[in-house]
Amino acid sequence: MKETKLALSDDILMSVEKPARYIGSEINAVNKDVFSADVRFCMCFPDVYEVGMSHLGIQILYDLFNQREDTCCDRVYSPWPDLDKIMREKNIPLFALESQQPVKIFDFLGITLQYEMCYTNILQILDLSQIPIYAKDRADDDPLVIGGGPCSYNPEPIADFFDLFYLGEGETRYYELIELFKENRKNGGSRMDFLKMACRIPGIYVPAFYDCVYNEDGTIKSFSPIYNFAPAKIKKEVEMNLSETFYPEKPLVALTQAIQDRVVLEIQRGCIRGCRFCQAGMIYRPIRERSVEFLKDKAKKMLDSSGQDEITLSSLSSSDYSALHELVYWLIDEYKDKHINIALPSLRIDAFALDVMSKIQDVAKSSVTFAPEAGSQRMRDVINKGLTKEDILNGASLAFKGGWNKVKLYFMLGLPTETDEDAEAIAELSNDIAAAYYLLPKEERHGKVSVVTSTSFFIPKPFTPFQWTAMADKETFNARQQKLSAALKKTLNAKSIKYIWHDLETSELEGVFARGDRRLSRAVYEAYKRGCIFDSWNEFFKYDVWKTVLDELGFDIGFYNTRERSFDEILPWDFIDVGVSKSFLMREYENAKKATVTPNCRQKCSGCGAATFGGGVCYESKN
Amino acid sequence: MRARIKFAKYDTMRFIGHLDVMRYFQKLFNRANLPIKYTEGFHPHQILSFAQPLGLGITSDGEYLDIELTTEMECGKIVSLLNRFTTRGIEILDAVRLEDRETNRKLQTAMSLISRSVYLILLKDGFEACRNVIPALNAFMSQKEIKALKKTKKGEKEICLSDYIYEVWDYSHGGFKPIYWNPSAVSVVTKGLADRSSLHAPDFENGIKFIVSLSAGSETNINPELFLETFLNASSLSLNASDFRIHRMELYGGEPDRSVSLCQIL
Repeated sequence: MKETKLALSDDILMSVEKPARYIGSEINAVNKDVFSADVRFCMCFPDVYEVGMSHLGIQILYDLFNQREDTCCDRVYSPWPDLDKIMREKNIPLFALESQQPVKIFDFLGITLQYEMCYTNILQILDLSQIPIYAKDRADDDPLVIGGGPCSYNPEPIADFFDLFYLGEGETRYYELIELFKENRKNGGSRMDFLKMACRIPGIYVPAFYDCVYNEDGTIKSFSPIYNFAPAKIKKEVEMNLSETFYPEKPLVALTQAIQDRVVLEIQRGCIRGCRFCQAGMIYRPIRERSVEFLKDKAKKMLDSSGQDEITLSSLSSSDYSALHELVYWLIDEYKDKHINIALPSLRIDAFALDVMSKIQDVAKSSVTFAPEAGSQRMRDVINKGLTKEDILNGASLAFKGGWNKVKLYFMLGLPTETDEDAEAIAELSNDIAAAYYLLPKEERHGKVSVVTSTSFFIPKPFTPFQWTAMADKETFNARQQKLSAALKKTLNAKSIKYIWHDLETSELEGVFARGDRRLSRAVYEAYKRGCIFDSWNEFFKYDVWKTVLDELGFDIGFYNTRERSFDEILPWDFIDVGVSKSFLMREYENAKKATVTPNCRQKCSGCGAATFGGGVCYESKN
Repeated sequence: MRARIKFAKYDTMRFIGHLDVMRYFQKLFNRANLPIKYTEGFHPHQILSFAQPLGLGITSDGEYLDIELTTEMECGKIVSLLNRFTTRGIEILDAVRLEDRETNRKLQTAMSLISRSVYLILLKDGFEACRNVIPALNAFMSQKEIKALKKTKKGEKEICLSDYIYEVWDYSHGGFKPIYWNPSAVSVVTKGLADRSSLHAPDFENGIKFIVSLSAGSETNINPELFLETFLNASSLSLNASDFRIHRMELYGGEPDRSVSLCQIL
């Protein structure tokens, strides 16, 4: 039998961990003839296969591109370090999974930027693909490297590696970009000709067309287009009708288990809550729901075509979806007896949530999750987390009565204005939750209560009210963590509480890149050259190397992280318009300092600016 | 109803491990809407039982899987239904009805029945030594006794490999010539079997390939790599095991002197 020609030999595939990562052949993969397509788009998630395959955004775009007859969209993920080494030794170019052809023969290489710690992996992809690292060094026949996703809301630390960025939701402008590309090629236009026209498409940012000048103190003096055809401000793209747009009906199913090995149903985009630390809550405004009919239809088609035995709802805050009850009970009625599991993350714990959970989970084994984010009420008011201690304790008591005895709690340390008392209040709240369990009559309890309290370090992000704030320094983080740890040990229910914390060194670097500027690209490249790769993986993260690189190149971590910025400082991402206005963010920062709560979008419009997009929650009451 | 499914695993799917093949079938049954039976309890799972797991990199025309259905179904329909929903690399070859649990108290699973396996071993292209492989194999098999080091849970153990080799055939260039036959075992390899059970094997231009029938299953399982490595170590071919591809042709149950294909033991 004639076998499929793979990019890697049997010997190589047999010598690496999980060869299934590199062979394509997934269920519902679209195998087009890459050579006969007019436009070749290679979509990349710069992390290992099992992580990348779990990402919904790529599946949406993969489907969107492959619906076009003239376009072939393939995928590529970061080769794991074992294969990375072999590819370098043998000079094997990185290849796309479907066609098994080199990435460098594609017209576009689209890279999704989901977290800052993937930046060295971008360079790995470019390097292994034999594409010049810096956009300025690329020739007409090199792929156009385009970035998108949450980190593109401050693309500056990696701007030099990209030919262009797509700011916002992919559904709206990609077809226009493809048409433009075809036309430019028909006219014999160059790479530069294409970029010049592309930057006029709303949402498209071509970093090479902008110049950044710095003050002596390192802050930005000016950031402006070099050419008059490049817009001074770039507005993010938003798909306003989420019920009449692209959504995969035949999701890809990995042949080796992906992290998210289930059907993902995105019920809405955006969030009404306005938590002040949360970037997603600001950049995806306004909240837009998909219709229940749309979701039922997609759920059925995706389950049928994939054969998956689990479906999960995806959104920032599922409880705010207005038809949640109808959708969830429909899913249960339709699928409970067909052995399909239903997962409901990001659900506020209330009577409804517990009723649903008792129907779909094994109560004895599952846990209930709360994300109070901060321990004291004052602190929760600062971050605008509209959740009171009473809410949490009521939710927990309801859960305990319903038979649950495992609780997971998520908190942040180092929030703006935080004191030792605020950190210690986390211990108090954890203890109160455990204590609430023992208020139940003995015969209603099911064994011992288990509370898992976990903390991460707060990292200020662009386009949040905390974008100006000083991130806590290492000493403060450490001290707070120790205070909390000690306080937890002193609580009455200490034996029932387990404490888990997030790595400090990764958070520090994430902070630098979250609010970093264009100069940092040198550091990313230098760290990569010295072997940094898979930085989001603890076993590969080389803090010392990073630290040395930043020192040697003259970067001051404090400048990026622990410095309070003034309102009139030009921020690296100021050229992007996300709808939410700077004046709103300033107002919110002031409110935070006063611990004043701002109502959510459905309670009262706070005039954040997202109404500019002409839909979603901003117009709900006006319909 | 209980049924045994025979399938081929080929092409790129040779790189999918055993657990992932299980997951593949669970999803395939869902896509095909096959009325598969689930276990009881809060975490029900499909009732599946695979025969002998196949090593990574090996293709096969002789994989077996036992399933249970909640309703009666014609075996031919099971095959055609699953083939409509499978993807390249897994093909359903056959399905047979098994005795029900009620009548078959002992419930022999595909795995517990296995006693013998038949492999096709093919030389990859690009080696000078290709013409010497079959003569070397003839010489190797003409030894009175072949010793080998077998890895066990406790370390390595020397075994008499020749006791567990039942047949060796030269199948080069589509020919069919005997090389070795162990008198304690009945011969199961025929030209018909060779042709039928090599349909999903790879093709190489050099055409050098041979068939080995080895003891398999829970008593003494000889994997084809052990045979190949022992042979190559004993010969002066200067070839490595990785210069060959392995293709499983068939699995048999029953005593060596009366082996029958798993689809014939119901």
